[in-house]
This record gives sequence, C-alpha cells and structure tokens, in this order.
Amino acid sequence: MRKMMLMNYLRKLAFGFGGAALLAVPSARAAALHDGTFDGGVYDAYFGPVQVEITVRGGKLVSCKATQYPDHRRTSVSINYQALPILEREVVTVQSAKVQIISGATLTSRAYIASLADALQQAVQ
Amino acid sequence: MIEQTRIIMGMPITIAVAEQVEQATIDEAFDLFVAADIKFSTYRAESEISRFNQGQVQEIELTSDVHEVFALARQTEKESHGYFNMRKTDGRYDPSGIVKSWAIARAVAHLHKSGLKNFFADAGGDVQTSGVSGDGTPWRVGIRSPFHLGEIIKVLEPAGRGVATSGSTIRGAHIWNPHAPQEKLDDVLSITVIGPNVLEADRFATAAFAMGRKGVNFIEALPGFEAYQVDALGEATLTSGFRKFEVAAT
Repeated sequence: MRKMMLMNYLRKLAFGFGGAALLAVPSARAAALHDGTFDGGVYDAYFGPVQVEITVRGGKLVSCKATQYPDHRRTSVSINYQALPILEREVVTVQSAKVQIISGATLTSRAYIASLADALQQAVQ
Repeated sequence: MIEQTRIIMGMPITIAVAEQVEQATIDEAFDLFVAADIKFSTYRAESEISRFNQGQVQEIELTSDVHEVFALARQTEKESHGYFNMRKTDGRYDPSGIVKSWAIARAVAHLHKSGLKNFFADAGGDVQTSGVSGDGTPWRVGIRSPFHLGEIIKVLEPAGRGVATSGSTIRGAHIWNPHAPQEKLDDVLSITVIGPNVLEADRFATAAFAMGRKGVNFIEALPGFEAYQVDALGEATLTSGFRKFEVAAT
C-alpha cells in the first residue's frame, strides 16, 4: 500500500499525471520510512545540477523540494552587442483563451526523478 | 481528432492528428523518440552517447544520427558565441539540449511523409504544429506561467513555426540569495522562442536562456526568430515582431 502510494506520488510529482516513468525508480519497500531529511544525488539536467531533498515526519513524506537546479550562466563569455535595441516590456498576465498545446520548460524532469528516487531509498533503508 | 501522450525521454510527448490517420503512423512517430532516447540518453549506461563518453566507441565509429546531432550542437555553439556547449566541464558530451527537438523534427517529417497535413507534436513543451486543428481553426499554443504551472500567460498562433521554451519552472532558494538579496531578483525564469521550425526554435531558446537577460536581445538580432522572456519579477520582454504571433487577450 505504502509502496503504491509512493510510486503514484513519484509519478504525479514528475509528470502531473499517472504516466509510467521509463527511468528505473528503486522500489520503496513496505518498511516504514525513517523520519529525517534526506538528500538525493546531484544529477545533470543539461543546464546544471538538480538535487532533491525530502523530509519524512511520523513515517510520512511531508515535503519534497529541489535544493539545487539549473541556474546556469557562462559569465566568462561575453557578447559584443553593438547597439542593444530597447525592447518592449509588459507585466505577465494570466490568459483564459483556449489552447490545444502548452509550451513550457520541462528540462529537468528526469534528473528530478533520479534524485528523488535516491532520497526515497535513503528514507527506507 | 486523435491525441496520444506517452512518457519517453523522461517527459510527456504528445502527438495529435486532426484528420484520418492509421494508428501505425502515430506509433512510428513515437518510436522515433524511443530510438533517440536509446541512442542519446546519458541516463542509460548502454546508450551510444554513454559508450562514447566511456571511451568504448570512437567518434569515427558513431552512427550517422549521432554525427548529425553533434554537428548541430557544434553549429549552435558557434552561433550562440559559446553559450551553448555540449561538452560538460568534465569533458563528457551531453547533447540533450538538442536531442529533444531533433527527435520532434524527425517525428514531424515522418508524419508529413505519411501524407498528413494537420497535426502537432509536443515534447516536454517544445512544439511543432502543422496545418489546422480539428475544427479548422489555427492551432493555438499557450506559454505556461513559470509561477503557476496551471496557468498560461500568452496565447500564440505559430502558423506552422516551431515554439520552444527554455528555463526553470521550479522556483526555489536561488531566487532569494541571502548573501546578495538584490542580485537575483530579476533573474530570467523562462524564454519562449518562435522559430522557422521546432529544432531551430529549441536550439536558440537553449542558447538564449544560458545568456541570462541578454537572451532576448540575442533573439532580436536573429532574422526569422521572436521571443518572450519572463523574469522573476513577473515582467516579460518581447522581441519587436513577437506580437504578430500573439492572440489578443480575451
């Protein structure tokens, strides 16, 4: 039961719906989760490292957050812009129009799952 | 309309077709993503890229797909003045920044070759549309809010062009650096690029995001590309031709 819940939780976290992950997630045994805070490994997500930290309290997973994630800046490389045009700016506002497709960043999902799986494995050991 | 989603390469991939289509054609398009993952995943020890990184395969022995992706990565490195680089600091090669949209482009080419005109392919938020949607209206692409994943902040009609977003949708500690509280407040959270096709849009979105605030200026200087860049303050910067693709707020 706990295993099922953990797996479903993992999948929901990673994809927002019940899809099957291709990445091998170590099976969380039925043994109780140990209380504490556990850090997963650091995984590449192309722009940089992703690391997940989980907190278990009373045998339950109470929080799960990314403590490291891509924030990549190659400051050593400079670009020579001869004349930077002044570009239009606006405050972002929520739109309600119907769309069929959504574009957004999802670069880190696999690294995120890998690190989360690490952290969970530590919690059940 | 047929719309199917599968998880491949650690991300949801959706193919939708707004006309008569054989299931086999859709399966073949998905198989191209699976094949790309088997070759290029740095998370699979037996992938061609992993074996290359471990020195088990020399560059000259790589298959034509890997040569093609390496060539694209090197071209992007040059065009982005070095901001994009598939070589990690430890010397390993990781072209994942390009593989996703390269695979979408291959799937789209397969759908076209199969005689289809009205469809879209979406891999983890990078999108290529073709033709029109099921009710004959243009396909509409929303830009996801980096602040609230369930919301969209812009609606586009890309009219067959590619749309790709680079950035991080997870907000966390780095926005509020206790040692320099002011420094990161205006960080770029995401940049959405409209380009001639999804591969071009993604190549330049990836490079532009790595440039930070200058990313949108980099896109402004590229003919045939437009961008919408969102920062942590909730403000966006637009390239001068972006509005052409925007659907007015309702």
